[in-house]
Order: sequence, then structure tokens, then C-alpha cells
Amino acid sequence: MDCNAKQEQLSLLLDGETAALEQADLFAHLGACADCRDWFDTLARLRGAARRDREEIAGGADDLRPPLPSLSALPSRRPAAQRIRGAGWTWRLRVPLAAALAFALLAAGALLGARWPLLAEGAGAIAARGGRAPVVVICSLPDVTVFPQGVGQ
Amino acid sequence: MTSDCDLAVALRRGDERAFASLFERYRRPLYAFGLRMLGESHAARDLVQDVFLRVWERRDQLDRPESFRSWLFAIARNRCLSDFRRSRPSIALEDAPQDALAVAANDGGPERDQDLALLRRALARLKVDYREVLILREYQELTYAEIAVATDSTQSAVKSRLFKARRALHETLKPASSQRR
Repeated sequence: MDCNAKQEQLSLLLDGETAALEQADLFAHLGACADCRDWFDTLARLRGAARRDREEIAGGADDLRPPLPSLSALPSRRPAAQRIRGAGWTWRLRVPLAAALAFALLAAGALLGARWPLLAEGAGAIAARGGRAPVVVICSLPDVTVFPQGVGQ
Repeated sequence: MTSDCDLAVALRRGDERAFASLFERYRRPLYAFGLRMLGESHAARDLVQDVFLRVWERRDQLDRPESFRSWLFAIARNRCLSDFRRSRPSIALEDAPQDALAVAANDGGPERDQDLALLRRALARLKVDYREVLILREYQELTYAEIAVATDSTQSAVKSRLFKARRALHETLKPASSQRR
């Protein structure tokens, strides 16, 4: 008699995973085989012990609270309002930069218009003849502060 | 009572009350799982908190709200495995903490107490592969399909592993069992 195969089926029986016909066969085997009966009884008893153990130890979690205060610190799902507040420093930089750039462009345009009033007209004429229009590059120099001699030494 | 599935759907929308309800429902089973897997009370408490933090972080990845329980235990199991890899390859019996081996309060006679003590010792001795399926089945009452999801395996592999785990458990208990007869 192959008790190893029977015990594999008894494991399924313990979990209610066997068909009725197989069950009848297994119970007949249990009636005849002391080793398999011991195997099955021990595991059934330990199942009861596991359920009792579960109830006894679970109380160790009764004082735990959901980790909700930590949720605001999670990077993946911040509320929209918080995201905007969090990004404030970039906006604080971007707005003055954009204003400064616009001012520089306007100033450069005004300067060019006053000094070379025919520049735009000339560029149009060159383009009409199939040539390349002149490209004006605007750049800014860093501020340089010149201290009088002796200051800052 | 609201079903797990309904709560999981609300959780996916970012509902913190649903999250709190699921925590309330699963903190004890998760703690029991953690204590029997890791063998230490404080480690099991950390596990409950960590797992629920991950549940919140990964709620977008919960594709099947009806399988919330398997998904939760899959996270818990992975957390245990990474804990083992990091710090404790196995818990030997002599090293097993008192939490794991403590004998139950005397509520049903010495034989019941002895069963409980034997089970705790035997679980602490088993290899992790076997211990996890036994805990998921015997303590948490997960179905084969749920255990397959939780352990990233197939149902037939679960059946086979459960049988081997039970055989190993029985082998571990054999001396004590034959003394009692």
C-alpha cells in the first residue's frame, strides 16, 4: 500500500479539496492503516492548535493604529493643493526671470529701432532676394561691482 | 459589513477611511502571520505598519480589488522574505524568541497546551517555504488559489508544497507524538 500517495490525498482531504468518491476511499484506508490515521489525526489536531494560537497571539496588534499621519509624507500621492505649495519656490524663480527677459527684449527692440530704423526693412529685402536675414543675438553681461580702492580689503 | 472588495475599490480612489477600515480588519491576522513567520513581537508589529504603508503607496497597483486579501499577504510575505535576506537566514529552535515558543494559557487541559507548544516549536524549525504555506493555510485560512497569488505560485505547486510542509511538520513532531501514545 502506497501510504505516501494516500497522505498526499489526505492533505487535500484536510483542506476539503477531494471529491466524494475519493473521500470514501480515503476513509476506508484510514480505517485500515494506523500510520496514516496517526498522520491525519496529528495534522487535524494541529489545525485546531493553529486556530487557537491565532486567536491568542493576535491581541498583540490591538493597540496598533493605521499609519495615517505618515500619509502626508508619502511622495506618490500628495493632495493637489500641497503639490502647488511644494512647487512654490520654482514659481518664485520663474516669474521674475520671465519679467526680466521680457523687459530685456523690449529694451533691445526699442534700442535697435532707434539706431537702425531701416534694419527691419533691409532684412525683408534680403529675404526677398533669397538671401539670409541678419540674426540679432541679444546677450547680457553679469553685473560687475567695482569697489573703490581699499574697500573690502 | 462592507466587503473587502468595496473597501479596496474605495482605497484605490484614495479613501483614507476605507484604508483605516481595512487596517482594522487585517491588523490582527497580519500580526499573527508576522509573529509566526518572524518569531518576534516587535518585528511583527513593524511588519503590520510597513505592509499597510505599502498598501497605501501601491494602491494604484491593486488591479483586482476582489483579491485584496491575497494581495495584502503577498506584500506581507515579500516583506518577510526581504527581512530574512537582510538579517536572519533562519530561526533555529534554540534561538527562537520566547514570543514564538511561549506556551498558551491553560484554557483546555495540558494536552491542548502541549499541542500549541509543539506547533510553535515545529513552525519555528521549518524552512521558510514550508512555514509560509502552513501559516497562510492553517492560521489565515486562505484558499489554494489565494495562497498561489500570495506566494507568486500555482495552485498545483501550493498543493504539493502544503503536503511536503505537513510531512515535514509531522516528522518534526514524531518523537513527541510517539511519546504521547
